[in-house]
Amino acid sequence: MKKDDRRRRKWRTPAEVTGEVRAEIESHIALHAADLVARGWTREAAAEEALRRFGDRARIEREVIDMDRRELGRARRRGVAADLVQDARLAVRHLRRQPGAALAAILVIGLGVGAGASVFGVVDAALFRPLPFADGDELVYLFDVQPVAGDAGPSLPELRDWEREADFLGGLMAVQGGNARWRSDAGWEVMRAGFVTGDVRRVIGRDPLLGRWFSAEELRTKASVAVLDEHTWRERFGGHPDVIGSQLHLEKGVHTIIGVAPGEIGLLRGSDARGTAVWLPLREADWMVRGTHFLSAIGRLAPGVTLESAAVRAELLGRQIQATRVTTHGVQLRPAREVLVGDVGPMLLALGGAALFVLLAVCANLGNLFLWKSLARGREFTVRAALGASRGRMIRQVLTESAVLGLLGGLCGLVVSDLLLHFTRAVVSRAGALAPGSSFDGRIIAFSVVLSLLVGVAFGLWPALRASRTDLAGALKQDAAQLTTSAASPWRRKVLVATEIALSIMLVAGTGLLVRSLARMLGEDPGFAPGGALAFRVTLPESQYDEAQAGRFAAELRRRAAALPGVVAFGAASELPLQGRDTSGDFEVVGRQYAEGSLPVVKKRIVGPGYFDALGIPVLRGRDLRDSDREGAPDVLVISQSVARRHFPGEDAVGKRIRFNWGPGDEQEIVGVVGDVRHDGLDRPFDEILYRPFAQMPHRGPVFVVRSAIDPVGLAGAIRREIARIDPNLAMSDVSTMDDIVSQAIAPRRSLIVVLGGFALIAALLAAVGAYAVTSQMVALRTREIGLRMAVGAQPGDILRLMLREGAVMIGLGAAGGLLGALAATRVLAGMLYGVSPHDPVTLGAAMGLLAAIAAVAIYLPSRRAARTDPMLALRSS
Amino acid sequence: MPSRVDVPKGTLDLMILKALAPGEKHGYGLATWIRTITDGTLDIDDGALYPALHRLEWRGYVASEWGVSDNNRRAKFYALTADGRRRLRQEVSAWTRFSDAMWKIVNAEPAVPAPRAR
Repeated sequence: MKKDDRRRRKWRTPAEVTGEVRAEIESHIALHAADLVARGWTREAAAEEALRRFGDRARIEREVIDMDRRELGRARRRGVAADLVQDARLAVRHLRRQPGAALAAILVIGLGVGAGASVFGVVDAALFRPLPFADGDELVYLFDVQPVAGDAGPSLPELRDWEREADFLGGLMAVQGGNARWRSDAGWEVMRAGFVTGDVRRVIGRDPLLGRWFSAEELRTKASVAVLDEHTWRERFGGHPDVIGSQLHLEKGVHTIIGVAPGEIGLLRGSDARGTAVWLPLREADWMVRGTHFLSAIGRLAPGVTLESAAVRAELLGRQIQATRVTTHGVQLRPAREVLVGDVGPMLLALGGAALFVLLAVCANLGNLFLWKSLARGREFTVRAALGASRGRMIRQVLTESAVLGLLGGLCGLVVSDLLLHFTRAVVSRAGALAPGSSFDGRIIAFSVVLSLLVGVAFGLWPALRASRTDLAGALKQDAAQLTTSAASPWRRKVLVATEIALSIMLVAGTGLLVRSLARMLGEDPGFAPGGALAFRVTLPESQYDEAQAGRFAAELRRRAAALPGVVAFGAASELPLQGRDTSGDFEVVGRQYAEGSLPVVKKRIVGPGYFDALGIPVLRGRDLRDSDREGAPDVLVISQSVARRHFPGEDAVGKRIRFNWGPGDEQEIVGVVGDVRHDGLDRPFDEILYRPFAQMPHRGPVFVVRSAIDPVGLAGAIRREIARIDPNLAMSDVSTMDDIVSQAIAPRRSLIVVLGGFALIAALLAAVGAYAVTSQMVALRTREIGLRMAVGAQPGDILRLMLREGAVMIGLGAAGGLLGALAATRVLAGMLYGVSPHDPVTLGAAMGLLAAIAAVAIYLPSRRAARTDPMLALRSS
Repeated sequence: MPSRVDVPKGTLDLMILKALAPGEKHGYGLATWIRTITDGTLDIDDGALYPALHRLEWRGYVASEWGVSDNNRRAKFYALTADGRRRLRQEVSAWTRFSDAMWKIVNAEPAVPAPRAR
């Protein structure tokens, strides 16, 4: 049978199958009857006999028809698969014939997809990816709304009120972050602990990896039980399942390990990005005071309660509690995603925009590449069409080819995005924590595959459609060069390169603005001198150190540290600048009248003597706090310069009295004025701060700061030894230099610069490659023309000018487009800029200049080659 | 005329392949050939050939084509493919061995019944 016939039969419709089977059986019966008639049967008898001998005609017909249809479907599917395999094989063979072009396309797609996927990872995590908790959309955070200080976590009594009254919640728990001292083989170590209370099981909504959660009874009685974090369990306990029931030596006594919690649960603590190593029951008795707002309250909505109605009912609950006059604070409920992700909108917009620009640059580059290739392939397709290949089949083959190219590019993109993801996650640190750690994650892979297929196929379809439109006879007659010239609209290609230049200018300008902002920020005076200062904490066991003893320990440590060689100053504070921790409160200047609710609000700190020197904060007027400012001595405080300026303008603040409702003493005397500090960030204004002395207001967990004339890191060992000499059971934790703390504070910005800079580099590279390629191709196409010009007397310089003029058009268009684009796009960055206008002419000008220079080099190299053309060779070539 | 014999499962394929070995035939021709060769001993409805024919065609052992019969009627003709010929050789050899074996069993001396245990 002929092959064509077989192919046609493969595409029979179901009705055709039925008709054919019926006709075949009909023909059988007719043949049989005719035979019988020939042997002398009557027509009727013959027909009847033939039918009888055939058997159950209806059943057999049905059986054969069903089989044919079933097998036809199967064969068709096999055929499609086989064609696909054949196409893919052809595609690979074709790509291998042009490894350079294929590799270029794969790399270009890879860069675009990689940029896109690395951003998608964090955007997805922030906006769409389900939170890594069971039914995360039901989780909410509850905040205590304070009339003056704003939102805070609740205090324990408030949590108990909410637990009792909040019928819109199916469960409510609270976490307090803290340290637990743990005795390992190596001695005492400090581990991050999450102290929990409330309905842990209901809120978390899933079983631990091993063992169980705390029971209500254990939480109520503060039983000596512990749930390990997954990471701690693997790192410190070897991941053995028999850890359940074994003992954990904490300073509070021996705790029995009852479970291992999945690592994601640590994310619930939200703002504290550092991992929680162990979960322990909250020791309630220590904290049953209103006014100590240290908890993160996490609730799960009751079944059937919407977020909206829960928010309203939370607010009502707040008013209801206020009505009882226990507190003036309200209640606010916010979805977990909002709290955990934080305010990352502008960052995501910047990242997304940058990735989009890279992708557009990639598309422009591919457009150029494919446009060039399609010309070369036009002839191949013409020939194949002439040999009888169907249009559909050819389009399908090209599509397969670009899909293969796209997928390979996507794979390359996954690797690229895996490298970039670390940085994009760091840009949005909190949302980043919700993002997968690697790009080899289902959702990111799916995104990359779809994106790379889209890009690949979009650019495959173009030449395919173009080729299939080719006029056969005409095209075959043309020679390749003519075909190329006629199809290659040089304008279209120049516009594509100009687009790439413009996009690069926008990205470079954006990066430049951020770099300048960071430089400005680093140039700002933080109000303290980070160089040479080292910060650390010492967690004191509550069983052995009451507040007075804690004070004595601090004084002893200060005495010993000050004696160490190299140490210039030593001090302690409740909070350090730039670490994200803060407390604030209101005060009044004695003798002044204030309207109800209009008391000034300031940040409040407890510091020890020597702190200002240790951190490098200048004492401007009056004096530093002293050891003599102790309990029983007159209550004193130190204020920052901005407080002095606002509340004591034109007068000396020292000696004035303040009523500060914080700590012992009704009134305090101002004994000193110190320099201002930027507490919340280098890009934030100076803060108004009141400082009270430790000795008059004991604090159990201060941060110590030591300033040294030598390398502060080397000092850590000596201090550790001094601490051990005071009490061998104590350990130093959270050791970092102030330089590190400053560096941490600008880390998201630096990451954004790295990402944006990386994207800008990719775009600039693509633009350079594009400009180079287009110019080379123009030179190649015009070899004969150049030869002719030179033969009639044109000098190499003339040729060079000719080619450069062509290139200048691309650069001019690109620079103009880039300037307009940058003026529009950099506005997105406005919120992230510091001390630089989004339209900063220096940055925009530099970006334009840089790209113009890069493009000029890319255009010059092939043009110079053109100018060196040997006219004789050029004329002979065709 | 002796009573007709049921066709054991699977032997129909062999019959069809064998019938097509000399040359292409249409379905009715096949039925006639089998009836003639076996003197009508086998109890096969003519229609039963068709599911078998189509199955063999899908497996690639036979190929079909519409044509015109001797007495000028349209009919679908079946022919062995190369695969079909190979298949026929295998089936014939298997069948021969099987029928030899069956023959030996059927004609074996009746065995002496074992004495019953007391």
